[in-house]
Amino acid sequence: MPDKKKKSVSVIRNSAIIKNPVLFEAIGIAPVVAMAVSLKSAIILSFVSFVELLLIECLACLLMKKLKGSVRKMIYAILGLLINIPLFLLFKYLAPNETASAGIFLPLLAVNSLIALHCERFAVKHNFKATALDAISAGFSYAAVILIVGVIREILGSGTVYSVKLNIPVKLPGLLMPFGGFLLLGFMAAALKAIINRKFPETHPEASFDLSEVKQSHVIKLREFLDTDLDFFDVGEETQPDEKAPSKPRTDKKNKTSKRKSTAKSSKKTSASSSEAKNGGGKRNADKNGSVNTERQKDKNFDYTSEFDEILTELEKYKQYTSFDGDGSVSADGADKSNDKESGKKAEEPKGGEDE
Amino acid sequence: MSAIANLFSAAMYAFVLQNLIFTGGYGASEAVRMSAKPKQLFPLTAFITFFSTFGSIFCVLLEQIPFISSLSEIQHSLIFLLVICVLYVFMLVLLKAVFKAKKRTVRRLGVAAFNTLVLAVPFINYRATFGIAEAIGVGIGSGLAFIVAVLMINFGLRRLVENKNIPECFKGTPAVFIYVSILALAFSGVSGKGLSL
Repeated sequence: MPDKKKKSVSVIRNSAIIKNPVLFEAIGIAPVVAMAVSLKSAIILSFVSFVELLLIECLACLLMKKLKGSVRKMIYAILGLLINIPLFLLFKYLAPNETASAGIFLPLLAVNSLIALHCERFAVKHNFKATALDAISAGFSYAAVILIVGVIREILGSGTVYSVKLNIPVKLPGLLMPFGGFLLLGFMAAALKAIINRKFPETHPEASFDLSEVKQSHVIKLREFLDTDLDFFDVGEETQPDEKAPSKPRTDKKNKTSKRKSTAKSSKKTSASSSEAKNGGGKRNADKNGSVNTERQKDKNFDYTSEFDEILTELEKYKQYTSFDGDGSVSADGADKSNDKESGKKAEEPKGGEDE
Repeated sequence: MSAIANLFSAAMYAFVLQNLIFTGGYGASEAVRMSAKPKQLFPLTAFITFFSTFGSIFCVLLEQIPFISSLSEIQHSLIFLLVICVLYVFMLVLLKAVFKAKKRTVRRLGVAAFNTLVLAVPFINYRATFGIAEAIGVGIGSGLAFIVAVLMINFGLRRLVENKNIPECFKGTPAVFIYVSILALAFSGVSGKGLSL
């Protein structure tokens, strides 16, 4: 029993605080920054999003586990809108002005990324109880963020709370614009992170928003996407041959891509093979090249990239091998191990120069 | 000629003057999350542009039917979502059956089809009573706006990651949100929204 309680508490803590959907995962920002400008609109938004998340996540857990992910995403959106319509009509009856000011954001809650992500990450992989706990905690934390943002923006931006005037001398109407919402979210996230760092130092809320790939180039990916990602002529991921199976001949398109990628490297290859031939590794490489040529004759669709890769690895080994011979203080097999530090320092210099 | 001018002006409106991500907040979470993984930018943007452009064209065409044009806004939202669902299924079948698309491509398709930016475009057309030329313009413009938003956030994130002077509690999403708020403020200035004090 205590274990079950602990699990439940950890699910609630993770979903609501440490992996707060808005503040740390940056999910479902649109309604918060655009529409949470007053307490009334915040109440409507938070109620609708909480009910949608709870119902859809429970339905996903109970009924959609066997469906394909691509189909499920479509169903989440349709279900979201079907739940949204009666709630929209209810709020239109109860608070017509606030519902009208919410504009298109109430129907847009149907495609809130919060729902799809929580359903795909949690609901279809866990049991009903855990899913319900996750939905309630994530829904409450999302609603809490909307309400806090709504109240602060209403007080500072309009000088009112729930349409009751406060005698505040300074107003900041800029906070009612989306940039004000982003700014508030930033400070709220920082405040929550500071609290978490004090109370739960072992947790890492920043892990929810992974920035490790931020420096990757989008241009390279465009090339990959255009050439290979859609897999125009080849068979899909599921039917690709495994590593043990003999390699399938590449299509012309793939050969073009690989050639393009290795164009810069090919010049290195030429110089490498010639230098290796001069430095005694020539015989070995000549034999290898001979066998390669016979292989080439046998198979017209020979994989050139693997050959390039082999030669490049050989070149790297050769560089490491010869870098210590440069000053003559340390032999390649490490026979003379005296003055290791000095020779290492000296060896680094020509190596850097080579790289340049 | 006027149709081209309409298309161009609508595209500029969605892309620069009223960048839908920064000044409207549409698709903001997708843009922020995508900027942390820029290698997926172009496939996703291609799909987003497809859905926003064709979605808005079909929705404008459906508006010509008197029965549909007489529906309320919430009923319109159902029509818009169904149009996007049809486009999604069409693209899914095309990618899987014809191009033998990989799983990751199919996953991107779901994110691209069902987000606030794609669903907001038909609403903008409906509220502004745009014609087909403007609908195409807004659709393409929103795709371009997404690219601009992601690239601008990404370039900022690269600097933020390198910056060692950021306080511990501001590292990660807090710094990202504050940076995005500055960008949103700049675009609000371009769109001419004044702060009436």
